Amino acid sequence: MLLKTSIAILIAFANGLMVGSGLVSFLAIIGLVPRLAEVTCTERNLRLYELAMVCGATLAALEPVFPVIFYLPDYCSIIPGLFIGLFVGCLAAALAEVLNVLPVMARRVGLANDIRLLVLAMVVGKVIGSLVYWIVPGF
Amino acid sequence: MDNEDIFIRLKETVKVTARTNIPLNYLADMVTKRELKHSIGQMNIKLAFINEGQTVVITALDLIKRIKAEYPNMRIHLVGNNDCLVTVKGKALRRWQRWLGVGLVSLILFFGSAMAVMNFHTDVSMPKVHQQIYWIVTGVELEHPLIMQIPYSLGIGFGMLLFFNHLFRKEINNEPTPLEVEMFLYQQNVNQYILAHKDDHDLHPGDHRS
Repeated sequence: MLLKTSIAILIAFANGLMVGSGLVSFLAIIGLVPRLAEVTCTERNLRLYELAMVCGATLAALEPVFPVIFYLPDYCSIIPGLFIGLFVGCLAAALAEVLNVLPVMARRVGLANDIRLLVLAMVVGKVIGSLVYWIVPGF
Repeated sequence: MDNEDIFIRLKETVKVTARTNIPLNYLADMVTKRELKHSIGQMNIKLAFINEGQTVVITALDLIKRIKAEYPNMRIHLVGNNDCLVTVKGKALRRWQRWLGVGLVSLILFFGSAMAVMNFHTDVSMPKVHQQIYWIVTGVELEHPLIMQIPYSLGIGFGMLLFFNHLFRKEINNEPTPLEVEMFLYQQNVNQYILAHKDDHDLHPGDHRS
């Protein structure tokens, strides 16, 4: 019994290690954190950002084990909603295909200078798409 | 004029309007005696024929040959680049053509991203996750926690703008956005490809150039 338990613990811990390092390498590859640090001129606080990511991931993974409920008024859910949205937006913008497709497209139609407009079209598209997805029933 | 030194650094890319004679000072930066610099800079490299939008590779050898033809004893020192990409400018796009292109690409991107974000939500079961978070915060089970999902949607837009640095734009330091960097890299790759295949772009190798 003890043996079985310890093997289970070992396997689960290894599993967690792999998932955690996978998450970190994913975030590292898309270069999201350096970019955000660069934009806000806070490259010195990279350690803090690492900590924030580790805490977020660990707490979210522990949530099913130790369920917590805050019983806050409903407008408090705006905060997680907004910040999850900000993250997903950064993620969407950072994905390699976006960064690779736009230059090709802009060059094809000869509007390398209007790339800002194309970005805007994409941003508005994402927002409208997301709103439609949530508000229109049936998705 | 014997045994003078001239230092030449070819530019990487040059755009010219349609013509067949290109002065050397278009193609390269050079350092030498002032009077020499002027006369050499005015010397032309002749291209046999070129079409609009075409790219021609001019190598340092072409320049050396041209200069040696007039000043056989000149000591030529090359600094840096060995090749220069000469692109012949095409006609500028008309205004309506330009706006047609912009409109078309913008529409593609608009609808494409809208669909992509919906696909993403379905892929990762985002509705479930939102219900779960709403439940953690309020203790209420709700199928459509819109009060959270609408700020979420707006957050996506702001997050993208944040990434492309449209929010905290610092006009002073002129920092390029990731897209501009990517655009530059793409252009550089194209140039490298042309250089690697320069025999195809070398319309008149050797003796046809005067």
